[in-house]
Amino acid sequence: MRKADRREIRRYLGMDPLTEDPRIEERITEALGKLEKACSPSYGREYVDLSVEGDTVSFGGIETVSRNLAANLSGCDEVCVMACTLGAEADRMIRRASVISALEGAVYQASASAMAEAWCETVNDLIREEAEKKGKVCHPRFSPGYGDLSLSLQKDLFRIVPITKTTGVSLTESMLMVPVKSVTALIGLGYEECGTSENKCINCTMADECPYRTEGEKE
Amino acid sequence: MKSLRDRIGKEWIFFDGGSGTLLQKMGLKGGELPERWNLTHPERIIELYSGYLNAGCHIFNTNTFGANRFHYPEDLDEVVSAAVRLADQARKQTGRKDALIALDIGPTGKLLEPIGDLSFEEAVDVFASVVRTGVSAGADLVLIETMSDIYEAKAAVIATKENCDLPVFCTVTFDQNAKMLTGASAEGAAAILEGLGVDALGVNCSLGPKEMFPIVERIVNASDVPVIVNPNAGLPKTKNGMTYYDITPDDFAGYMEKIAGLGVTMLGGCCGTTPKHISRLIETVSCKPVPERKQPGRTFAASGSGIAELGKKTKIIGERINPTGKKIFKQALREKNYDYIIGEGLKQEDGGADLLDVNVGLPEIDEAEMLETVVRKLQSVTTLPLQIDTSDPVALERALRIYNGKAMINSVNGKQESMDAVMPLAAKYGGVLVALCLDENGIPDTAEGRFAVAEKILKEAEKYHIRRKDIVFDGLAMTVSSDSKSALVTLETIRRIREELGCCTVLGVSNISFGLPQRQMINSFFLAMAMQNGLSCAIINPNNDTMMAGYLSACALLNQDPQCGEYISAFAAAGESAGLSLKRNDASAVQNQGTDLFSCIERGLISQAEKAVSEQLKVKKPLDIIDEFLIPALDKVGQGFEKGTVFLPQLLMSADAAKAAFAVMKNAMEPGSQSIKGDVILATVKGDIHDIGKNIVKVMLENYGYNVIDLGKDVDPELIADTAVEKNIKLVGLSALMTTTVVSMEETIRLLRKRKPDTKIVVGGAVLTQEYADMIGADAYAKDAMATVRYADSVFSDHEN
Repeated sequence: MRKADRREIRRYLGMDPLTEDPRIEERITEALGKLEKACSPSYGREYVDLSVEGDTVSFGGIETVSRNLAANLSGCDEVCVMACTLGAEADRMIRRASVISALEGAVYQASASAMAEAWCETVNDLIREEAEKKGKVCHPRFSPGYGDLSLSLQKDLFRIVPITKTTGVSLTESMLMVPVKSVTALIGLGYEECGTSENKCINCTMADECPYRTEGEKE
Repeated sequence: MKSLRDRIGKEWIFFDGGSGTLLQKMGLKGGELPERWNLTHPERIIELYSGYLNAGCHIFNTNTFGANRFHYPEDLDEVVSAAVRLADQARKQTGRKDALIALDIGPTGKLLEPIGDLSFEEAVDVFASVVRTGVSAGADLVLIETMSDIYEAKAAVIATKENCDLPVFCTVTFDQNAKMLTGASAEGAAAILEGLGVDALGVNCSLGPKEMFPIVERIVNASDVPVIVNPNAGLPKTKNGMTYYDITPDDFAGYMEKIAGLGVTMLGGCCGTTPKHISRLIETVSCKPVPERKQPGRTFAASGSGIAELGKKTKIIGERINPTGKKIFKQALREKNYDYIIGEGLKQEDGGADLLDVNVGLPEIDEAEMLETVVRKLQSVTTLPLQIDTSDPVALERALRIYNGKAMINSVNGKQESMDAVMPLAAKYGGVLVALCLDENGIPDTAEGRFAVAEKILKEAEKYHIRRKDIVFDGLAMTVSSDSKSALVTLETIRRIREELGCCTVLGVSNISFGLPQRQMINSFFLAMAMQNGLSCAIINPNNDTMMAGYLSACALLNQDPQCGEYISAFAAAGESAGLSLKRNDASAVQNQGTDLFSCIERGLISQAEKAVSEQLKVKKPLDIIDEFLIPALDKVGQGFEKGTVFLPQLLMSADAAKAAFAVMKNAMEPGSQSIKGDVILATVKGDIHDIGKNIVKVMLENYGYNVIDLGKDVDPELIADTAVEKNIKLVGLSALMTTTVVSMEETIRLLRKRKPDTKIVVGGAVLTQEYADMIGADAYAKDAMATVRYADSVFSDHEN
């Protein structure tokens, strides 16, 4: 599994990603160590045929209208529906840390988020390899909730990748995934690199108002 | 014909195999619900059943795996009863009237609280409705299978046993690391299911027979109940988007023969297995003699993902979650300060406890409600098994019912009244029962007398089918200063129970030293002596260095600590210096700089801040200390945060140090003498489960003198409005992280406006902006915790004017 990006952890903590405070770094190291030991990451993925017409995207019996997703998947004829999770123990450790202190809670929350991202990237690596074997390239990962893609798509994605059985991830009434450190995403497979950037923020229609981006990045 | 209960474990019993792959071959499309076919394609379902009946299986499953009200909100009863009816038809058509119909129950597809949003009682209810329908349609037994969360399995078993008397089997699934998805081990899952009284337990799905072998071996070695093994035909592979399994019937049967050799008499298949696999299995195994199954008789207490085995290394049960003699703990119970209570548990976990005793009884509170809540909250943060400690049977039942795992139960004794009240609960929910060696005649003053009570309790337990391995006897430590023989009587009782009854033992060690000076000294020696006499677990404070020194030394001396590893890692840092000093995890204790209170708070040094405030208390009044040091230091850090020179984590470190300093002062202050600026409600709105931001705001508000009523996360608008009205609240803070849940924030605001128009509402959370806050009608938007404090100050100073 890839290493969690500590700059991202600092960012989630509301710090300058490039400035290290040894007192906080020590806590992050401890949190990452304990999370790595306790978590059991798992994933699932399914490949389905895809067609994109205008802003309408169709795959695996789903038809959804999203300008951002259509742009991302443009030129692809197949899409990989992926889901990954750090598992239930990560949730417990965050809750435990939150009881000890608000700082511990925030540090575990941020560290687990970065770990989930790193795990997602690891699974993405595997999908890239599988795409290469088919002579295809992967487009950047796209998740429900990014840009104009509705969160309600989750229910359909869960039908395509039956991850509840294999990874334990399930959806709450309000379409949130539990355990919380879980990601679902669509990865387009095509024959040419995607026109959009790998930097997710630049492609996002909400980038300008995003609270997780520091002032410098918004410029 | 012999009943199924008489056959299991004594003769070979074969189950059917997979159904999904077969139904797909018959034309079931991906994404189509298979149970729907009970109504739309009955002939196909009969064909499916008949295949396995012709293969010779004894038990076959109804096509009801995913049949529950979430998937079939409209016609669940029809789907379930059709499945059973078709099973009966298939049985007649194939001339297999001897075969038994298992009502098949799979997981709900939702995660239970606290990870997910399905409550335990709702899960029980979901399963119960399937059981009632299936049983009245004519099922012969209930098979709960493919459970990946042991807590959900518990809900299903309880639902079944509460709604029928048929045999109940339960099989669960493990991943390649031999863990269930929510963390239970093979031993833990087996112990929990055995405690719930299933007729047979085991493992199915997810793995092939080869990968399952080591897990089955562990289950057979951990449990005394007949074991079922229904593997997939190997690990799943995919080709062109289709999942397939590739172990042949011959290979499958070969692996299963090895599994049978472990003492497993109930065998079948799961995904990818076909009637051919099953008939090959039956041909290969049924000619062998039925293996003799050993009864390992091991004692386990378990949580949903943790386990403590009694009877090997002496286990420590942390005693600190208990109000006896503790002013602050009692206050926390009255004020429902759960963080304090749970925090006491976590400190003991860090100190080395293997289990936690939970006693929250206080005459003026609703103990049943409190016990259930504390057990839930503890289990959401720790994996340690719990010991439920109460004398109120109502409280005991509520806690045992929702407890995730197999708890220790503290306690029963030899009085008939006690056994009548406690034993049925232990039998229904499972548990390791602590039994005190006393009865109507009091505490016997000889080991013989106590031993006789123990025998009486064992006999009574047999009536309830409570296994003797699940009874742990308390030898009763009595004050040695009033009777100098008393320690010997206790030690002799423990030894005899261990050696002659083969049962585990427990002691509340500290009773021995009442009335003596230096109690810890004699307690720790007594603990070591009890351990030498075979004590299985000790109820002590794991954060007491003297006790832990005695414990660690005894472990090293009694061959319970290989190569003295734990002893060395605990004491090596102390070198040869005088006095006991265990290595404790206190990061801030290492930094030994400055003891001036202002700078301790500013720099976020917790233990130094505690020391500094104790020093100040010798010369100053608490309120003066707050005004002169705490508030100015917090303000300085807060201003730095607002200017961007101090970041959130540093702000929180200071807040934690201030909180610790407040706690020290609270001890010194008369109750009610603290000045509270006002009551503030905080909540994460309905549908949203993110509470880190809300918790940060809470800490800051508390440090600035507000009493925070924290309603938690995913909070119903009604509850917020009710609380605001009931407590006449002037300020409510609402948090939401997701765009999708801002809707419930708006709804909450609307309701508050209607029910309590004079309450101010401040909102915050990642997706909120000033515009958004205005749009949904909030009084204020706070971009961070400091902004909330500033707004609260403005609201409450306005009110004063």
